[in-house]
Amino acid sequence: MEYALQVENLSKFYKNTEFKLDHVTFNIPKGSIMGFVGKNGAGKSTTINSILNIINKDSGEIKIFGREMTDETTSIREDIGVVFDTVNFHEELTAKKLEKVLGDIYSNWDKELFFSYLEKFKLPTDKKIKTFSRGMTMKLSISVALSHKTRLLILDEATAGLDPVVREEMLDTFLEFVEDEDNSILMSSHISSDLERIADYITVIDDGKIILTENKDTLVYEYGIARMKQNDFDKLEKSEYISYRQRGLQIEVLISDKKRFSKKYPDVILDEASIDEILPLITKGEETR
Amino acid sequence: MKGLIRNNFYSVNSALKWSIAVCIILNIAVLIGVIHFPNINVFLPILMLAQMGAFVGLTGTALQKDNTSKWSKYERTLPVKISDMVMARYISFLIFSLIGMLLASITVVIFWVVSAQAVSVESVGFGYSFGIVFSLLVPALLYPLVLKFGADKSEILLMISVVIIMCLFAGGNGILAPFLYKLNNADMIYRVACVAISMAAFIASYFVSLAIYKRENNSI
Repeated sequence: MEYALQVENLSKFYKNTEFKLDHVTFNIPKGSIMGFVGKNGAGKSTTINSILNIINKDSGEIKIFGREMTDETTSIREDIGVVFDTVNFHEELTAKKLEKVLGDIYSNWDKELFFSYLEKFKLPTDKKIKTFSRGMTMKLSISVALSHKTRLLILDEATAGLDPVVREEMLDTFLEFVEDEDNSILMSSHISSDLERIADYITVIDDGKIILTENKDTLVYEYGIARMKQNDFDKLEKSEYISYRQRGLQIEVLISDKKRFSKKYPDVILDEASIDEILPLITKGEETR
Repeated sequence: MKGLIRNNFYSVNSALKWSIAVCIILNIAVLIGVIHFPNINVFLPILMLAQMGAFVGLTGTALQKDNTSKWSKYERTLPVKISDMVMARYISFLIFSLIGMLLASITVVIFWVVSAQAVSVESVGFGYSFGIVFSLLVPALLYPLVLKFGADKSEILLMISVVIIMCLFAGGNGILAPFLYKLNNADMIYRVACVAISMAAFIASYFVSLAIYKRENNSI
């Protein structure tokens, strides 16, 4: 399998803080979308900043299209489009001026494609960025990120704070982008419904450690949440569940194979698990593996 | 690098236009009122320094804009080496300074052509030398300080840089006066030396900034 991004044993320590990235490992196969989830401060942005070489890693290996990215390897950055959670362009600029700036920076810059995105997103070309709404600035950032023959799109909370209509439009654009099987996306987001809609894989990070990487369909269709009382829970073998947590008198148990579990315990209530429900169970629940 | 320099100029577009407009108005005022100046050789260096100083201020504005827009973080994702990012800033600082010098030169030409009084080489020399020292040393000091302590403190760091440069120029003159008085053209020698030192400091500052930039990216 060919990978767009390989992160292996990435570690990063900070002085005067307990936070660290602890041997973070995950891969993004070419042509796929990886959803990167975790609570605030879990290490998503630090991981992304390390991947982008914005901060120095302490150890580990990061390969983009099979090559380690350094300050010297600017050709790799030609292939990466990045959208952060806030607009990163000078507010005095217009989209037209921004195009001139970036056209001078990217050797693969596609002016026509950029203006076609502006047209598609109905963005004005002559208005200053400071007059744009949050949705408009994100659309502008995405237009920039996709206008230089990008092969890997890295989105750090790019859909946060957008209304559902704009988010839908953004997600459709991302899906169009990965129609080309050479293109891939790493998308960190708090909005798990977005990831459920478009991601092929989900990676969960908590306290700087990767605690789960799974195919999204496996998560959604094979994982489940069993709800039971203490006496039923006591009958379970530890190998039959991933984690659990007490909620009042009930215990919620995360199961990785719904079919097998329901065959063995037909009387136990077993619900489908959304990413929103899985996340607290594996980050806050008691783990068994 | 061209795109980064262009971006630096776009980011201070309004301030740049205002500075140029004020200098042009100042020069028009000089053109109209030059015959009424009681002593042009006192006013000329002040007008030259004011114009060059206005453009030095743009370096602080540019750095502050980079910080507020978070462009500095985004810039790291672009296909540009760190050395080129830093170089682009220094080239922008230099161009800001050159615009200031150009506008100050217009004032000199106006005084020289229109005024009935003779323009003293001494006052023009002082205006240019102090202006060049100021234009080169302020960014040379300011940018590494901003990289080290953060662009959110750029205004106070700009003021500190200005005060340090003024003290160095005036203080250096005072300290060296006993050694220079025996020389012919002592003032000229001192000013030329200051300009040469400023140029060297400006170049050295690039390497200092580059080292800080590479080291400080751990804290972004």
